[in-house]
Amino acid sequence: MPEHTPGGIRIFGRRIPPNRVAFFIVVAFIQLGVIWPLYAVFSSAEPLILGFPLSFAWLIFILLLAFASMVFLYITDYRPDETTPESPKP
Amino acid sequence: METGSVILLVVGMYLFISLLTGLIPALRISSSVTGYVAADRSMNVLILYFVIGASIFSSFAFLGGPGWAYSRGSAAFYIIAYGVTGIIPLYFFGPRAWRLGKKFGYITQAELLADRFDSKTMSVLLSVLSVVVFIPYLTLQMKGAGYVLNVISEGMIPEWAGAGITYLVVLVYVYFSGVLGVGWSNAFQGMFMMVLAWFLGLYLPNALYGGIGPMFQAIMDAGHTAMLQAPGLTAGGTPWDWWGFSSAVVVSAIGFSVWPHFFMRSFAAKSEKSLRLSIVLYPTFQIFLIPILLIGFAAIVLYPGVEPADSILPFMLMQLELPAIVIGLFCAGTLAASMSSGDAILHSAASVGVRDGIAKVVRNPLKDTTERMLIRLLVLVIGLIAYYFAVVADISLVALLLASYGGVAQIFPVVFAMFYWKRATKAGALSGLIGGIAVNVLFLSYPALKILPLHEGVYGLAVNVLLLVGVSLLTRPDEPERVVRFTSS
Repeated sequence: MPEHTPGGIRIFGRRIPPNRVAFFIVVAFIQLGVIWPLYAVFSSAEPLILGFPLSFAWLIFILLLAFASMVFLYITDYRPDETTPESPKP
Repeated sequence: METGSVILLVVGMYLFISLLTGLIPALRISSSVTGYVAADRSMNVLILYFVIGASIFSSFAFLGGPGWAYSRGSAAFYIIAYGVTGIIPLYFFGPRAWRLGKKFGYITQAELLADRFDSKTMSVLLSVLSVVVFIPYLTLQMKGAGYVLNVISEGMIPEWAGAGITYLVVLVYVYFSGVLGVGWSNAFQGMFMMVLAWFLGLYLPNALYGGIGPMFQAIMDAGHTAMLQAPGLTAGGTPWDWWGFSSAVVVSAIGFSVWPHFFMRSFAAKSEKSLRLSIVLYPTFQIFLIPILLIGFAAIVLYPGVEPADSILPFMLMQLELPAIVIGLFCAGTLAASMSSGDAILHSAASVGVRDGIAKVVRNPLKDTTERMLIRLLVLVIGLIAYYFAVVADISLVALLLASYGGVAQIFPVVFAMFYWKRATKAGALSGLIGGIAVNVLFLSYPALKILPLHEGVYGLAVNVLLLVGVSLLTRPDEPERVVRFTSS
């Protein structure tokens, strides 16, 4: 497969395109955001944010962030100039 | 009209529409096994979106979600937390599985793994694991359906009849239409559930407290602040520790994408792009868990001490003197949650049981028509076994189901290795899978042996990965030609 997107990083001899590198960094943040230690920082009941306890509001934020990052990945994977996306190779 | 008749009428209409939407696809599906199990690889984004979304939202989510929020507070956030990242691996595994399926005719997860690792044992092992996990799962869905109809009809409809009628409908459309019946009916059931969940989740806090903010304020004022503090409470009412919460989230997230009935939907997609899009849209389905949890929170202050906690939603609806049509719609919504998971499980259990189990142990290859007939037969048999457990046997299924997450998660390392690690060998994969499941069962049976209070699946995964890597490196590499087919798919 031609490597027409410059940049990215190589892991185990596989090239990971930059959009995926960015995606995996956000995913790492998201994963930590729903478990200890990051979630512990936002685990209290107060303050209420838009009526929701902080612990609940944080989780909703993480859920929306996960959605946004997946939309980003999809759009960048299927850019018009790149009809077939690079094979996913994390 | 009397309340009872209105409720029955609404539920009856719902069941009728479900049956119709489930049966129509039987007219256009091919009569091959691929047609029955993988919809001739023709599912578009809309149907896939609902199949992927609805099969996760079971009666466990619809009744158990509010039940957890009501009795354990923010511990219920676990239900949202694991799906957030759990879906992501499927974005990468799915298209690979799809391409291989299109090229070599695969329609189940075990078929892929068995071919990559050249092992019939693996195939049979996975099919046994799937059926063992699916039967209690299906039984729970049936129980949920019977239970809700029983409570709402104030005992008029016995549980065996409620579960029986509901699952007769499921059995009929799964039998005739296969996976497309599941797909179409899930689209209808999914839309129905979403509308209902948002309606109830926003209506109840408003009607009872004047809004979501005032509701949470009232919970804190009543001295339940600890419930709103993550990670909430244990089933015993003491604060849950981060070890337990985090490890449960991680294990469930790892297992999420490799649940056999979920994973095998990859093969049914029309194209890899439509598969990816429906996976990307999955969180929009997940957002519907937010109103579901709000329902449970709404009951904490006003209705303390309701047992069992899972009955809190029907209990509240009965207290509120709502119009009969709303109660009827709620009833139908719960049935939709139950059926949209139950049908997918029933269909997958039978497909996997025949394709990866029976077909692998008989001496001669099965003819396509024989195989399809056997799958249909197994649909009936598994349906009846689950029904037997639902109405006759009295065993703790919820515990069994939650325990199965740790077992299913053990499939993840071998799936990952199949696609990304050339050096993984048959011996490594088999020992990893068997070792992981064994350790999982060991710690599940003897929790006192745990060094740290982590989910037993974590121990299983640790041993699994160690064995997979260690044994693979100690054994001769698998045949490169076969391996490359999978790693560069």
